[in-house]
Amino acid sequence: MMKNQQQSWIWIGGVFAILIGLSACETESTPEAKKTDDPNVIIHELNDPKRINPPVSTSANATYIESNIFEGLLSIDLQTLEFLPLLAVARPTIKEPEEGPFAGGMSLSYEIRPEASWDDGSPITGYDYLFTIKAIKNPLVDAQNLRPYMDFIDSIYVNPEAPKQFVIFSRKRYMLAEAFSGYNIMPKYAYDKNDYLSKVSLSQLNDTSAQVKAALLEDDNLKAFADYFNAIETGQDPERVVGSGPYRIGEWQQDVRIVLERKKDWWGDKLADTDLAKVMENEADKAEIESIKAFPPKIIYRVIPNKSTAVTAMKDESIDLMKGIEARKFKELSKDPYYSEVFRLESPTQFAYYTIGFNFNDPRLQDTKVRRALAHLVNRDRIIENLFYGMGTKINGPIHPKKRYYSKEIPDIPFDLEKAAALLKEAGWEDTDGDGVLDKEINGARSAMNLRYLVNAESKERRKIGLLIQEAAKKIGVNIEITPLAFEVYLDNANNRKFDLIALAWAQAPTEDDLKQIWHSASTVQGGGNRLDYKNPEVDSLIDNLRITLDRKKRDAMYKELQQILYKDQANIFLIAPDSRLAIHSRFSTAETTVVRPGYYERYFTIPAPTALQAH
Amino acid sequence: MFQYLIKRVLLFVPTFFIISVLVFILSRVVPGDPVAANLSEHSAEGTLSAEMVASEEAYLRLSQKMGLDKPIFYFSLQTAAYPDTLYRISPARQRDMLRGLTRYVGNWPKVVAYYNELKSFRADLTRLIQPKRLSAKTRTTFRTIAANISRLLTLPTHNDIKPRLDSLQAAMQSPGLQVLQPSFKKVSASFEQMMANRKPLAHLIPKIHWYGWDNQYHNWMTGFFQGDFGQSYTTDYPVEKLIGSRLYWTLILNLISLVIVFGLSIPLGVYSAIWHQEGTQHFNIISWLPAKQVGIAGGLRFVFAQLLRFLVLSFFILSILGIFWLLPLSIKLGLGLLGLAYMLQIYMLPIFLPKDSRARRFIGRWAWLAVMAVLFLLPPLVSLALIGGACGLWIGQGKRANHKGSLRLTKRGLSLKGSYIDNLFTLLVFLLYSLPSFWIGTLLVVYTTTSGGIVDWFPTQGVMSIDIAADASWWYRFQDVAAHLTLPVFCLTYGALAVISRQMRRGMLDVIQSDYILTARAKGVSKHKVIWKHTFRNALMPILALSAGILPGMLAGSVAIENIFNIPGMGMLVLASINSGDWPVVLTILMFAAILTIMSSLLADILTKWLNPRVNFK
Repeated sequence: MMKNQQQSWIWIGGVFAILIGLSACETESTPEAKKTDDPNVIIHELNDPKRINPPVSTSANATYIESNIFEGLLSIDLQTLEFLPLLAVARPTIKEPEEGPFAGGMSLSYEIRPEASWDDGSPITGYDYLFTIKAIKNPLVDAQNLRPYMDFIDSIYVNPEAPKQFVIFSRKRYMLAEAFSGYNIMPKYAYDKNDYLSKVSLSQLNDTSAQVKAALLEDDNLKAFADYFNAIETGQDPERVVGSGPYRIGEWQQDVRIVLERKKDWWGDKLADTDLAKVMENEADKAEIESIKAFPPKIIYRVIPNKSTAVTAMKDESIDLMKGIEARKFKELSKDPYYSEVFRLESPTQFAYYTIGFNFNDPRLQDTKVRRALAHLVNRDRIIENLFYGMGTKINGPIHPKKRYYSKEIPDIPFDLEKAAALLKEAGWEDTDGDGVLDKEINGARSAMNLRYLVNAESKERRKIGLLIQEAAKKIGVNIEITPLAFEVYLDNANNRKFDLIALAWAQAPTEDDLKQIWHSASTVQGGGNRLDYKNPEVDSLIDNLRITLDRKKRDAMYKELQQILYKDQANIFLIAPDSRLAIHSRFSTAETTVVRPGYYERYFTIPAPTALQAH
Repeated sequence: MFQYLIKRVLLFVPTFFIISVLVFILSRVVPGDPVAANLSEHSAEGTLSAEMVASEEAYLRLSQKMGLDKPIFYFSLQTAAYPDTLYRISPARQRDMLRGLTRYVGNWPKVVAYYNELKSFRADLTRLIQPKRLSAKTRTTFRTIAANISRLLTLPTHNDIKPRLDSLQAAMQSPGLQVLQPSFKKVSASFEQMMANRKPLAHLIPKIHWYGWDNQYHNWMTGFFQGDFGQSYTTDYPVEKLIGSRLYWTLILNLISLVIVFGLSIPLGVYSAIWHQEGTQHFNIISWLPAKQVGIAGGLRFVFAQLLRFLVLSFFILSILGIFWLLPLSIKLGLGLLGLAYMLQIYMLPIFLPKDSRARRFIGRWAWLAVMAVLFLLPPLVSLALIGGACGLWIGQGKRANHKGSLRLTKRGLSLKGSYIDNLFTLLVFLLYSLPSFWIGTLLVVYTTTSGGIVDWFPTQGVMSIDIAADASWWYRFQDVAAHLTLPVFCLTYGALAVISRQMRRGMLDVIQSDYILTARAKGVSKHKVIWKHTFRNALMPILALSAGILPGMLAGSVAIENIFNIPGMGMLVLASINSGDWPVVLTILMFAAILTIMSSLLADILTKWLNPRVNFK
């Protein structure tokens, strides 16, 4: 019996030896992409965009997808971040009238390109623009997110002789007027077949008196329009989603994929032909014409909610582009010879940053020295190295280093425990009761340096940042308690100021930063973005002035001053701007990445012609 | 029986009711306010008090649309300190504030007086003051006041109120803001009043209030029974439409899995028990060799048998260790085929034929060829064969030979047995059973679906190729879908397969050893009849009890599997809905799961009764 058993184990061992030997004989195949000439782009999305209807859609990826279907007056140059005319012939002429009904305000005159037309061949006119603005301002339309940005539009004059020319009037000056005025235009003929909105004037919609507002909510035309416009079908039915962009929805399988098809008769194609001569002459025009292009015959957005499944799908080349790859995974992929060959791994910086906020209502944190001391506890190099694998940039203020008016004079606040301890001591914090935690008498009561760090549980990075600080803080007698909460609860706590320190992340626009939402004392109210209750009259007046200053040079100086004040106040612990982590199939070798979210422009993706053909 | 059924069905009513109340109440006490989540809170400028009032109106409109402005349940059970009408306060944050204050104060009229004063103060703020006319400094103060008021409206703890009121008092001294003082005095007075008139004893008196039929639960439940499951919070879609579009793939996935699980595990279990009992002779692949035990032929046969064992064993061991997948395709296929052919022809086919018939001998001889032919057409099945083979050989454990661990020469041929094989495959089955399917699923996706993995045999994810043409032939589509579903179906089935076949075998063995089986055999009932009529029916009881839980269990399992393989089914929907707090969808799916569980246990009972008339439910 024993013998038999032994024999079989020997055999098994033999099999191993032979088979392992066999497998070693297999030659390593050189990495090679399966796809080489497919011009269609397949992009990974974590979730379904739910609806494609620019004013109403709320998901971030809807905005990106919409940019291929709808067009605004202006677009943004992906490298210089300057505005480029898209539907407009040129950037608007901005005037600052000193008399008339809009004295002290501003006007923006636009002209829409003569070639620009809708799918049915009718020209895009100022009336379409007026319609779009009315739709947004209709209080029954679910455009709460967008409406405040369009507040500045008080009146629109469309030239009845030449309806492609129109002027936007505002009673106030606003630095972002140009940016917001360039918003997507939607076709009146497709979205308002019954002319409901023609029966309500823009001035009625702008009226702030309570009676008019109440009457508007009961208005039958507005109701009928909103019913159609808000309907989910209006944002999903390929027949109903109509824009002037190069793509239309070909197919939409909920939660599976959206296929965008290139229009055969897109107006932009005509432009490229007629303006070719012009292109040769002027560099600026060249950038403009280059921007009005769309190459892939199909853009497919494939929904895969699970990130690791998506990475595998990417490896299988069943998606061509993935964004937001986890930092660790990204590093792994870049080391793998196979994938670094088939995919281009890019990590352009992006307009977003992580910070830790203080609760300014807390008497302990009202002392600038304490705040500075806490800032010295953060080892940002280690955060970038360990949590983001080197893919991030340190920031010292709310302005991204890529911006024109970023202040380089602001010094780094280094990781320095001794300095932190010294500052706390200077501020009167000492461990008098010997429990290892610093304390101090404030307003007659002894309070200890126990700080609650609020973080949303979903963000691994922000939680780990908390751990790093906790570890450092412990050494100098500051006790940090990390409280991870589900996002909704986290937000509720933040809104009710139930925190001492809070992990925050902000996304920034590629246009000028309007800092009012986060730093102005007016935003400390319910629903405002200033959840720290940071109030500084100097900052308030700077922000207010910034917003109404149209001169860029003056603005730049003010921005720099503002950054200086925020640094002096230690209004926040500014951490880092994380890089976006993209993988793009290597066959799109010319695809550029950009700092503008999502970091790429899929419609410029193209496969370079084979060199042999070029030679002919 | 009929009586029992009626009783069972009647019992479902309270069960269903309790489940529905539980999930409903749970969905309502989960933190987070669905109305606020749907209303955008982040405006560009922050919200000043006038806009705050407007947004409260918008909130009310939305909560009416969502049906959340009604009492939650038919009645409330609380202390006398709380009012019956708290649900009418909107938004939810202010409701929470009032509830919190009442908990401390216990005197609702005073609390509500304070609340009303706060609100009228806020109204005065916009009525009396024009921020534009104020100096910059006063404007900042004014904003602080506005911010403090909005905070006061949502602050549930009385300790925090006093300091805020004090700071407001100070702010009220600023020039231009004095007009606010009278209405502010009313606020502080009402606060003092409230704190002075605490009635904590009111909390000792319980109170039940009947709200009537127009409540959230009732509306939801009546809607549910009329087929109106409400509207999804996140997409505005009717829930039934959302679920309908997702049900398809989940059903397909689970139906295929069910068929495979029961179709494979029951015969496997039955026959393994029978062989165990019979002590066992049967055909195997080498039975075509001359049936002589001695001489050259016998020696050859011995060598061949050893070789065969060597191959079969190596196949399974290697595959367990994963090295199998590193081999060149030809060896993989060869080993896989041998394993499958061996198990199929030995254990499956001859069973259906009478002993010593020509047909049985013929099949015993050539079945492996047929099996190979099938396998060459369907290479992806090789991985399933792994498990099939494992189960097949595990059956061998029943055939305990006299000489443990030896190769036994019998009258009719060689059979492969021995306790170590036995143990090995018992281990394998338990290993399979204990491996969580989400882990195996992830491993399979990583290693068998991309050219960077070990092999690239299966599609990575989804249910269909993305570039499949709309006019592709039915057969082409079928192949595509089948390829996509192979791995998910495998992940859904292997666990249940192991459990049920094992349970079946156990059940058969228990019954087959009983006296009445012996009696039946002794009085000349045919073997077939004994097995299928007497043994099988009785052995099926535990399986039925098990299977009541299998269907709901598979639905739960498909939550993980659907997410790994990105199959747009109910599992993915329910996970996404929970994450986004889309309660109408979650509730509906949960209720369907509950109904399914109830129904399958009822079905199991009926089948039990039908199979075994002796069962007495009384």
